[in-house]
Order: sequence, then C-alpha cells, then structure tokens
Amino acid sequence: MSSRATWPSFSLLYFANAPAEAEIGKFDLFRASSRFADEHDFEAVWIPERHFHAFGGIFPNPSLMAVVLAESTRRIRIRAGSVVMPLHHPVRVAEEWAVVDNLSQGRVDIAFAVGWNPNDFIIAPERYKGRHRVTMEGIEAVRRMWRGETFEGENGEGQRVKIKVHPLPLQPELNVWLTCSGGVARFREAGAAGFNIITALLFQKIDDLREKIAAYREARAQAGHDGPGQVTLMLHAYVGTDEARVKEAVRAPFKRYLESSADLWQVGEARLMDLSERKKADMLEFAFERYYQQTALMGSVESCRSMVAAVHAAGVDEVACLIDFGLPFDQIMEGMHHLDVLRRAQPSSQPSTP
Amino acid sequence: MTKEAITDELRGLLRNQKQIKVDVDAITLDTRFDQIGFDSLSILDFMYDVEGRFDVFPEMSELVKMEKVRDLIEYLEAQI
Repeated sequence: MSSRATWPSFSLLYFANAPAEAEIGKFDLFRASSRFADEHDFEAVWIPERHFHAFGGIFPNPSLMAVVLAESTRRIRIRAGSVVMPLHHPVRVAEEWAVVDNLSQGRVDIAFAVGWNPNDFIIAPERYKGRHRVTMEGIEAVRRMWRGETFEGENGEGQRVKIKVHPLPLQPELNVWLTCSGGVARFREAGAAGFNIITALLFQKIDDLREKIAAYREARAQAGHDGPGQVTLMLHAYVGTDEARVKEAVRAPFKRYLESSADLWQVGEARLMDLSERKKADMLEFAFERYYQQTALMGSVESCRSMVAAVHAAGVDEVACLIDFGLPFDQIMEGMHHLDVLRRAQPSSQPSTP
Repeated sequence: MTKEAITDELRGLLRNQKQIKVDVDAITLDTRFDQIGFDSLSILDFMYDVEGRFDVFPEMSELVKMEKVRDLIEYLEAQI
C-alpha cells in the first residue's frame, strides 16, 4: 500500500474574471504562469469550462487552451477542470482530448462535472434534467473510446453504427477526476467508481471536507479499487513576503471577484443586488474575511504553511491554486515565486511517529 | 453590565430574528451561530440589532472568528 507524501503537490487553476469586450492579452497570464509552473515542478495546470459570464468566461472549452499548453509546456500535466459532460457529446470529448494527448506526449487528465447552471444548458437543454446520469454514462463512454473500444450510436439515417475515434491517445488509460462540489453523496459515488476527485472549500470548513474525503476513501476501498485515489483541492492563492501587505493587496480585487461571482454563492446575485449599500459592503467584507482567514491560501509563505498542512491532514493530495482572481499580472507573477517556495516547503513540525 | 444581563439582552434580540432554527431558551454559551440558523446575511441582520442595542459593531475580521454565543458575549463584555 502506498503511503501519502508528507506535503501536497501544487498545481495552477484558472477562473479569470474578465469582461467580454475585445482586449489584447486576455490569455497572457495563462501563458506566462503555466510556463512558470511547467519550469518549476508544479504538478498540473487545470483549465475550467465556463459559459456566458465574466466569471471564468474566457474558458468556454478547456480543450482549446489545452492545445496551447500542449505546445508551450514540456512536462506538466494538462487537466480539464472540468469538462461539463452533459454539454458535450462523448465522441467529441474523446476526439478533442485524444488530439491534446498526442500533442502533449501523453499529459492529459480530465475532471468531469455534472454542471449546475441552467443557462449553460442552452447548449443542450434536453440533457439538463438527466444531467447526472448523462455525466456518468458519458464518462464511461469516453473511457471506452480512449482505450480504442467502439462507440455505438445513431447515424444520420437512424441506423445504429459503431465507430472508433481517431487519433487514439498516447496514454492507454484516461485518468479521471469527478468534480465534487456538493454533499457527501457525490464523494462516495466518486470513490465507488474509482475516480479521483477535485473539490473546493468555498463555504465549508476543513473539518467538513475531512469527513467527505474519508467517505470518499471508504467507498473507494469498499469497491475494491487500488490505492487511496487522488484528492485535489482548489484554493484561491496569492503568496507574498509580508502577511499584512498581502491582505491589503488582495482585499479590493478579491471583493470585486466575490461580487462578480455572487450568483455562485449561497446568496443569489439578485438578493445581493437588493441589499442596502451598507449591508452589501458588510456582506462582501464578511465574505472576504471568511475566505481570507479560513478557506484561502493567502499570506506569507510562513502563514500559508499551516493552511497547507491543515488541508493535507484532512486528506488533500494536491492543491490547485486559483491565481487569477483579479490582481495585476506583474503582482501575480511575482507571487508565483513565493508560491513556489511554499510548494517546496515542508511541515514546520512533523508529528512524531511511534 | 454583567454577563448575565448581556445574555438576557441577546436572548431578547434573538427572539426577533426570523431565521432562528432552535428554541431561544435552549441556546447556551456554547451554541454555535450556525446551529442557531444564521447564514452570512442573517448574522449581519442580527449584528445590526446588537449594534442598535449596545452601540458597538465588531470588525469583520473579529466577527468571522466568532463561532459561538460565548465569543460574542465576551466581545460585548470587553466593549461596554
């Protein structure tokens, strides 16, 4: 049985909050930071899928940016985080990512998500109601095609036909993550299926996450899958030299980011918009403080070390750092160096082992 | 103002909150605010009422740290 590493691996993850207007350089940070991560032994770069909103909206299809990474990086894992399965035909997913796997010499992994925003399903409204079942069936179909097996479907004349995708990927098996953002049931389901998982703290406490990860690993073991699986946690991240300066640097941009993403919160955007100016300001400040103190990887290397240790102790194997929440390009890239120091750090005091 | 007096005042304010999930009389010093039923919006509503009564409002960085009724009472004890 493999033992866990003493410190999680680090990756990058993006969710840029960018307006739709044409603008030179929208992907500059993505290119520069992913190259940095590739050159500094980060584990992976995660590319999201988001639609029709400034929040994450420059990433409508992760396979597009995966092509950029395949060409611009040499060793880092290229991960879809996530492919919203019901919004794609499984054949297209298998084809697109097989191309990326070839371009990247076999560096592709995919996290699949069920999807949650009804408006995203303008692409495939008929799949919204059954999106959970569609997702699980789609994952299996993609995995089979990835191995070179046939896919059976209806052709243009209503006949059942079997196809194989071209090109075949370089990796014989696709490493699959399931995006788990809700209750413990999804974690158990991912464990039983033998998938890895990617999740986020958002408004939950680390203790809550610990219980869900334990349920995931228990379900995984009960189903007879080898190994503990990989648990990836998204954390908003910015690391600097001075904790107080970091907090002041991130306060305004992170509050703007929270305001933009309000419809992803427990509190709906319409409700936030209806609030008085004072209450809206207090709400954002409260949310910022809670994120900053409890669920973000922000501060100095030293102050962030305990957060990394805490999530690792809760069962997290990989920290996916969301870096593009609104700080200027130069500041983020400067922070990458400190993030790399944190990545290479170890727990300040290892628990003694008997 | 004694701790008991502050506690009684808070009980009165809690009775006016809409999102209370529990019997106010059953709330103890160790009851957590999330057990009472507060979310991030309703805790602010409650704190505005507390401000109206005691004329103090904690820094958000402090409010985030308050998990239990005891934390708020100790804050108020120190302030008034």
